[in-house]
Amino acid sequence: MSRLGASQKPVIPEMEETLAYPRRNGEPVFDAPWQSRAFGMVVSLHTEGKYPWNDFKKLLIDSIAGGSCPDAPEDTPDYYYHWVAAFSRLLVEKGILTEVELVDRQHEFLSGRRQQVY
Amino acid sequence: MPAYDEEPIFGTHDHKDANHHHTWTKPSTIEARVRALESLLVEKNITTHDAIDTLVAVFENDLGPMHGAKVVAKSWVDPAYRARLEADGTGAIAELGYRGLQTEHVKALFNSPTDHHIWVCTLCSCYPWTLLGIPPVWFKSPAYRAKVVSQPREVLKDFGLVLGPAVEVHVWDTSAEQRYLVVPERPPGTDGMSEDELAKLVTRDAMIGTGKALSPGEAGL
Repeated sequence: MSRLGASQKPVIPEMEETLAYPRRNGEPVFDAPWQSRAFGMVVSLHTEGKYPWNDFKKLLIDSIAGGSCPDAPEDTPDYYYHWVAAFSRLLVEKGILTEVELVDRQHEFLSGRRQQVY
Repeated sequence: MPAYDEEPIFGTHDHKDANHHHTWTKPSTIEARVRALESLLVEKNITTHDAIDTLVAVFENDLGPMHGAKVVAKSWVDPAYRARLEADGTGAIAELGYRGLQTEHVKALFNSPTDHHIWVCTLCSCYPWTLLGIPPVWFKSPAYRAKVVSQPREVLKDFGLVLGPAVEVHVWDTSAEQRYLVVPERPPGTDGMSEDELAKLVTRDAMIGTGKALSPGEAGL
């Protein structure tokens, strides 16, 4: 069950300058569904108290400083690629997931052995 | 507003029915990674699909400039509403259910063929969040704040908006007590459009005064 009650609207953390969420005309922009899922997961775990926002932010800054993400196509903005990289690292650092189970599961989706997320 | 309208790769519908097959398309590396993350986190009861859906919806729907756009669209189609908006901005906006936070004192500024309005916060970065969402980065920049007062036409040019010499430009300085909302002119070729469609033409920039409302073509309608 979601722990976000109807009366309690979740607060989306503010992100500024190089970390600012991509927007078009003031509205948030997701270029693909995976980007919104990644966004939702990172904020969801934070609002549920799994980590302080700054822990994620720090890894995001590191990832962005480290240059472009290997998975990102050259001509695409790689903002959410960095989100996924930073989030993966954070989960492993916090002991929520292991690198091995994450990579294994990713291969299951890549090979088609697993197809449904729901 | 989501950038995609077609069926999401994994959407909010239920896939528990084992007989419900989709043709499988190989995901990209990043898609597979994100699916791996979501499926593992849900399995471990760290979060739920619903919680993720909720946050995405809040982010997409509650922070954009659409509340202000609905006010503008209504004033375009309903002359009585327009008159009320002119007389009492705060009251007319509250009629649509947008209250609280920083919309207490809102004055609507109506653009016309002879007058163009634009607002700025020269002292800090006062902004009607409830109506327009998150302020754009440039709104808080010292360059915009300083230059729009002394050279509004130059600033508008920077935004790609060139006004004829006959148009008078009015610059308004917003404050903690007084907020503004520019009502841009209704674009031509929009007769018969619904309020919801019209609202899509009203951009954040148009409501600050650094742009005009979009044509139906520009809005992809």
